[in-house]
Order: sequence, then structure tokens, then C-alpha cells
Amino acid sequence: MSLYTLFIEPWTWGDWMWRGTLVASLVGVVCALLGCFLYLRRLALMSDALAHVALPGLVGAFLLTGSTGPAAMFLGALGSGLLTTGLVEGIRRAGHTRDDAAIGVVFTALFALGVILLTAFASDADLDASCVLFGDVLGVPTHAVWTLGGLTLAVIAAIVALWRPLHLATFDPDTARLLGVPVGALHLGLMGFVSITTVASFQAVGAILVVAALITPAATAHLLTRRLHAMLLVAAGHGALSALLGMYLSVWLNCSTAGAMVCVGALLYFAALLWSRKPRDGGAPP
Amino acid sequence: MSAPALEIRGLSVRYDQAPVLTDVTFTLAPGRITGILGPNGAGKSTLLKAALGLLKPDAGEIRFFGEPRARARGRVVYVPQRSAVDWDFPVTVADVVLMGRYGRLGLLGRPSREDREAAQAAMAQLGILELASRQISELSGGQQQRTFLARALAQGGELILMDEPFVGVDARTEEAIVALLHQLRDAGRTALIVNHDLQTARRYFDDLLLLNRRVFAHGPSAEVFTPEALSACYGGRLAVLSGEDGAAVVLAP
Repeated sequence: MSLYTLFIEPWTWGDWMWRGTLVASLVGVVCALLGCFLYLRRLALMSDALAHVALPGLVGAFLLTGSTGPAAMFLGALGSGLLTTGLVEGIRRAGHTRDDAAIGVVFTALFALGVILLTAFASDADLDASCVLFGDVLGVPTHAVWTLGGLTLAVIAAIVALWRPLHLATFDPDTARLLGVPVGALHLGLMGFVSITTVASFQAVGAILVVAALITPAATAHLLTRRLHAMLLVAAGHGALSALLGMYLSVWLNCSTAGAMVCVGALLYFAALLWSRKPRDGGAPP
Repeated sequence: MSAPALEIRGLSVRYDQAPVLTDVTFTLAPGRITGILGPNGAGKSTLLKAALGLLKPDAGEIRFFGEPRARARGRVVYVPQRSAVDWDFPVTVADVVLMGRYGRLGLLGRPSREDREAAQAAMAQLGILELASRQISELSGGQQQRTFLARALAQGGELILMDEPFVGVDARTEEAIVALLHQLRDAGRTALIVNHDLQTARRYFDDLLLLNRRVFAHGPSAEVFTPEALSACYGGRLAVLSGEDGAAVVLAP
């Protein structure tokens, strides 16, 4: 087997290789960018939650509107994402329950509710459970590619425009609040974007693996960088590289693209972990 | 007479129904440095956070410079406890100090040359200019504290609230912080500082506020730092004697 057959020939096999790589890269980049903020806010678990509660959002939107069109799906997922954020925040403020437990209770309950709704009332809907969970990079229709592209641009534009308040609110929310930064609104905005992104990424990589797309690039980039913009760039690069190498791996092994992407991403993470010699103990001694 | 820098009336705070602060009332005259002393769990940090609106009190009225908090926003600076900061965050010293100017920028603004110069000047004053491009995890405790103090300077408020600024810092940084505070005071600024080191309290602070769930004493350091007041505030957890000048000598904090 020559390098040509391994690396070049797949690109001549038709549109799907190009399109699949584009879709996977868009998912990889947009999730990586948002994931950095989740990671730094110690909300990695929230990505898991928002990925799961998209299901009841989708089913709920279908039951309300009778449609599985993109608008209904986005609004459904956005609504359930914001509902989850609100519930978790409410439980957290009421005290008594630890943050991670609050997230765990809320999202599993909503996910289960989605399963009940799906099996009891929406079994005729075109909501393929295995597709929701595992996705299909190669089956993504053209309009969804445009949606993903638009979403990626919107996320980049929002991060660039709100760069300073976002940076401060993520690093030091108390001071941000005192300086008049709308910390709560930024948090809701971020969660809203993550919810929408989760749905947009569904068809490509599925609800479960989108969690990896959100967190692994951020965890990798944090090991390698010293400033936030560098972290975002490295994370986006990690997302895109995982997408490309994942596509190759899935072609060579004839396996799930999403699975291959996530495994490649995790390998890159471990490589970074071994290579990085940055102290990881949270700071030098006094 | 100008309005007090901070006026707190009847402040009560509870965590999970347990009272942390009860009916705390005091005023800070401008141009003085006040130290808050009290045992662990006395509610010292809680008092700062409640005053700043970072946690919600059950009752109480808080005014900065005679105005409600929202209208005094740019005039009040907070330096959080060092342990409350995520030192692993990908951010450099220069980034952190420049953040002190973000309150002036609005949501979409960019720092002007003036903002950058103010940040540079603050770093120079704290002697951390050469550390500007270091990530904050690469700093010593003293350097970390200087970074946050430089951010406060860059912000340029009139009232500065600091939570345990001397914990885990070297002696030189401690002296530098105190010198800077005295300098700010002489320029008319006001400072309220949570501290637990009794040995230095009288030397560092003009006024003292003895706090343990409620205010035990408040006034000029020489008047407040007495064996009676300290024993009352700390309960049995402190061995105090009277020194030659009638001031307290603390044996075992």
C-alpha cells in the first residue's frame, strides 16, 4: 500500500470524503471553541448534560409543532438547554446540593423524560435514536452543512466581539460582576450556543460523542498554552486535526467516523499530556 | 463633611439558615485604612462579599460614598482571596492587570492607549513589569498578590476591599503592600482589609473592626486593640495580656 492510496486516493472517491471532512471539521472547530469556555468554567459536565437534554427538547418540539424541521429542532434544543441551565442554577443557589450532583440529577431526569415522550407519543416521528446517539458524518444533508458553517461563524463572531467581558467573566466572575459585566447573560448565551451546537452536531457525530468534541480539545489546549486566545486556537486546531485524521482512520478501517474522530482526539490529548511539562499543581508555592 | 466611603446598616447574612452575620452596622470614614479582625469563621470574607453584592444578605442597607452600590461601581475595587483565584487559567500578568480597565470599556470596547499605560504604570509600581508575560501559575505567592494589587491600581477606585492579602506572601511583598496602602491612604483613598494576623494589626491599620458574627468593637486601632475587646471577640481562643502601654499583647493567636 502506497502513501498515495492511503492519503490521496480517498479524496478521489467522490464528494462524500470532502463533505464528510468539512462537516467533521466544522463540528470539531465550533465545539472546541465553546468547549474551552465550559472547561475553564469547570463546567465540563455541563456539556454532557446539554448533549443529553437535547433529546427531550427535540421530542418536545416535535410534539408541539408536529415538525422535525431545523427551526423546530433548534428551538426545542435551545429551550431544553436553557431550562437545564436554569434548573441547575436554581438548585445550586438553593444550596444543599453539590453542583455536579445537581447537573447529574437534572440532565438524567430530563433525558429520561425525553425517552418516555419519544417511546410513548412520538414513536412515529423520524427521530432515529441510534442516529441521535451516534450520528453519521456522511449522511449530513446540504442544508445542515450550511447551518453548521453559519453557526461556526456566529460563534467566532460572538467570541471576538465579546472577547474582553467573556475573558474576565470566565477568569474572575466576581470582579466581572463588580465591573458591570453582565455575567449571567454571558453564561446563558454560552449555554444557549452549546445547546444549539449540540443539535447542529448531532447528525454528524451524535449526542454522546459531541461531549468529546466539546471537552477533549479544550483539555489538550490547556496543557499546551499560556493565554486564552492561544488556547482557543490550539483547541480549534485539535478539533480540525481530529476530524481530518478521524476521516482517514474511518476510511482505512471502514469504521464509524465519529468514533475514529474521538479516538484520534483522545490520542492527541495523551500525547500533549506526555509532552507538556507545565506545572499542573495550580501554581508555584508562595 | 464628605459622605462615608462605606456605610453598612443592619446587615444580616445566613448560609443554609445558619446566621453568619447578625445586625452588622458600621461606617468607614474616607482616607483611612481599616483592618477587619476576627477568628476563623467569624464572617470576615462574607462581610466583604455581602457589601459588594456578591452574595445576597437577608437584611441590611449598604451605601458607598452615600450612594447605592450600582451607582458607585467604578469607585470600589475588590481584591479577592488568593485561594479564590484559578491560578491555572491561561492568562498572563499583563492580561490580568489590564482587566482592571475593563469596567470602563463597556461590552464591546477595546482598551485605549491610556488603558494600556495605566496597566503598565500599575505593574511598574508593584515591581512586576518584568513578569508581564508570565502565566499566573508561574508566579510565587507574593508575585500573584502583587499582580492582583496592580489590577486594583489600574482600576483606580477610591475604596479598596482586600481579602487576606498577606496570606502566603513573602515578607518583602507584605511590606510593599502595606507601603502602597499607606501611600494610597495619604492620597485620600480608603481601604478595608480582612486580616487574621494580630501581631501586625496595630502597625498596619488606622482603624480596627473586631468581628465575630457581629461587630464587637470598631474604632482607632489604639483604642480597639485592648485585651478586653480581643478576648470578647475571640472568646476563649486567644491568650492576651496587657502590655506596658495598656495595649494587648497576644500570646497565642
